[in-house]
Amino acid sequence: MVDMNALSELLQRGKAKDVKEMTQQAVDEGISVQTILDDGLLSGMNVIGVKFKNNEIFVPEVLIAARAMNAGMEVIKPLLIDNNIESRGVVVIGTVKGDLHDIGKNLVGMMMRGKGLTVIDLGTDVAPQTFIESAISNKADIIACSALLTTTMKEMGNVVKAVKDARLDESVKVMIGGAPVTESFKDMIQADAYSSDAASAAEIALQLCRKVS
Amino acid sequence: MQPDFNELLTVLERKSPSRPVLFEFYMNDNVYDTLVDPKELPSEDEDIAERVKLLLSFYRLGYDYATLLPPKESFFPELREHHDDRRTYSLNEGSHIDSWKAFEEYPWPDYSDIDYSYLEKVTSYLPEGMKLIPSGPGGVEEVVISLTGYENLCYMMVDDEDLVDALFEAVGSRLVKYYKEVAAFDSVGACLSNDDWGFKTQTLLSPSQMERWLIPWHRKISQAIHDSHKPALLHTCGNVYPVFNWISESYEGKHSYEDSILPVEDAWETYHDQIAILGGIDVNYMIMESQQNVYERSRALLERTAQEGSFALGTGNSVPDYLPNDKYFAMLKAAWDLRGITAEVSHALG
Ligand code: B12
Repeated sequence: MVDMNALSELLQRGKAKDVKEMTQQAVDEGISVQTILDDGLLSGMNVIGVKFKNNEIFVPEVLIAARAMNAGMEVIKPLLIDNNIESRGVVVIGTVKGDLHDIGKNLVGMMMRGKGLTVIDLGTDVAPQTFIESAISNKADIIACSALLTTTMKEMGNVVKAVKDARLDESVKVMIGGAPVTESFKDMIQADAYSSDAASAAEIALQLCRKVS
Repeated sequence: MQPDFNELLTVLERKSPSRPVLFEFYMNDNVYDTLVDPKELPSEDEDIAERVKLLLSFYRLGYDYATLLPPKESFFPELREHHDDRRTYSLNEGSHIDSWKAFEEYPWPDYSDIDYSYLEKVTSYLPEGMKLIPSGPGGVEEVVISLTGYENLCYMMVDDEDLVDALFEAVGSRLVKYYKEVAAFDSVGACLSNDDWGFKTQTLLSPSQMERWLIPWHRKISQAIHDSHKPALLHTCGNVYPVFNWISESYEGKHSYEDSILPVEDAWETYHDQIAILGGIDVNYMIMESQQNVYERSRALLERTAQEGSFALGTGNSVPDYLPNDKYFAMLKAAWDLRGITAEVSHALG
């Protein structure tokens, strides 16, 4: 019988091949997909998130663990659909218009997936309207924006405004982050949430999704 | 407005200069074009003209040195797609070296054949008392990332350690050679090693990865500079405080500060006994706050550090083109006023 703690451990150590094999073994043994997902893969990513937030591990270790999580997810993805296992929320994420940085955004996306959220990654240089269109078509709970320079950070205000203009502000929350972004900037542009690191971003997103839905 | 490089040297010895000292990595064309008339520049050599433009700008704003970009041949060719019209790009875009084959096929720059004569050619334009501070064609970590892409590098550090060894060796050995050569010139007063190691909450590589692959090269770079009895300065952004000892063991000055990580005031309080604190007024702060606030914060910092020294005033990173000149000059004015040269500089600014 596959031990879910062992699966979580392998994921934390970034052993993608082993995670894939063990996930397959667990499926073959008839362990429920929900258990594999929650107690194996997401639980492993959760530990990674906490350690990253506390600076006990570093981005390279997060990336390796996320790669292992993806290897496991590939095995169970079709089963999640078959079993009607719903995601915990939908996030549309992107780097704002004029900005092409993506390391931070990618990490936030990975951590959010690690919380069981569905993440639609719009890439970089994303215009406010593109965020809105994607949020509508994907019935998103959250729009998450990343920016690295003060000059591009200002675009985040335009996203908040576009959400209001589209009358989505009841159903969609806007989260922001990136090097120059602060809590007070979040207040200034009236966004809904900010965090300084990707792991906290994912925790907040999960809370927001619970509130929204 | 007499420049005196010894004032900066005093700061780098962690002592108090006789008047406020300024430090900047580089500014931008909006600044240079305000200060220098193209007619003043030598017409026969475009490269020298560009360098003289910077040199005159630094001089006219009250600096005791000018930074100098490395020669074009020293840059590591970027094979990624170019999009000059865009403001930013991704750290993942480099990703062309991801195999030994790509490593061997990469057009590595030939550092045995670089022409450093510009370091002599510009001396006739160098005002008395001023020295040059050459920077590098990126730092060891920055260049490796630009060759592999950041996320790829992270995977390679687990999947193919030997290739990562080879990459750091190929880049590091070239940069050591570069600093060894430039530091030896009489016109050079110090060298700036520029390598971004951190981001908002931590370093981009883990400390153990840094210790294995990166720090040995920085020790060699600073040694190469010290061999010519010149101070070595490090420009590195982000949250590098957990590995600060590695910085102060090799470098005399540390440049780049961000309020969202550790405001320069706090960095000075904590580290100025260990290393000189260079620059520091957060770029975001300078853009978002009023000129008056920028002036007052800069002045307070100069006053706070005057007695113990080990500080030179500047921005937290550089003067990007989206930072309005007025804000930048408001910061500088704090130093000009205390030096009594505001009228003189204002004249140069027209
Ligand atoms: C590496 C780097 C560079 C590299 C590469 C840049 C690149 N293209 O990727 C180089 C050397 C080329 C460079 C150049 C420049 N840089 Co630079 N750079 C950095 C540096 C050191 C790290 C950026 C990075 O890769 N971070 C890695 C990721 C993991 O971190 P992150 O994006 O912050 O993401 C984390 C959190 O912020 C959060 N997060 C991110 N997104 C989101 C989204 C949401 C919704 C949430 C909740 C959270 C969240 O989670 C992530 C993980 O925990 C930063 C310093 C810093 N503090 O970040 C400066 C920095 C961004 N650069 C700066 C500057 C000024 C520049 C230049 C303009 C310099 C110049 N004068 O030309 C140029 C512009 C380049 C360009 N055209 O884009 C300034 C920006 C200042 C400002 N306020 O505008 C910074 C902040 C440095 C400083 N000392 O002030 N830079």
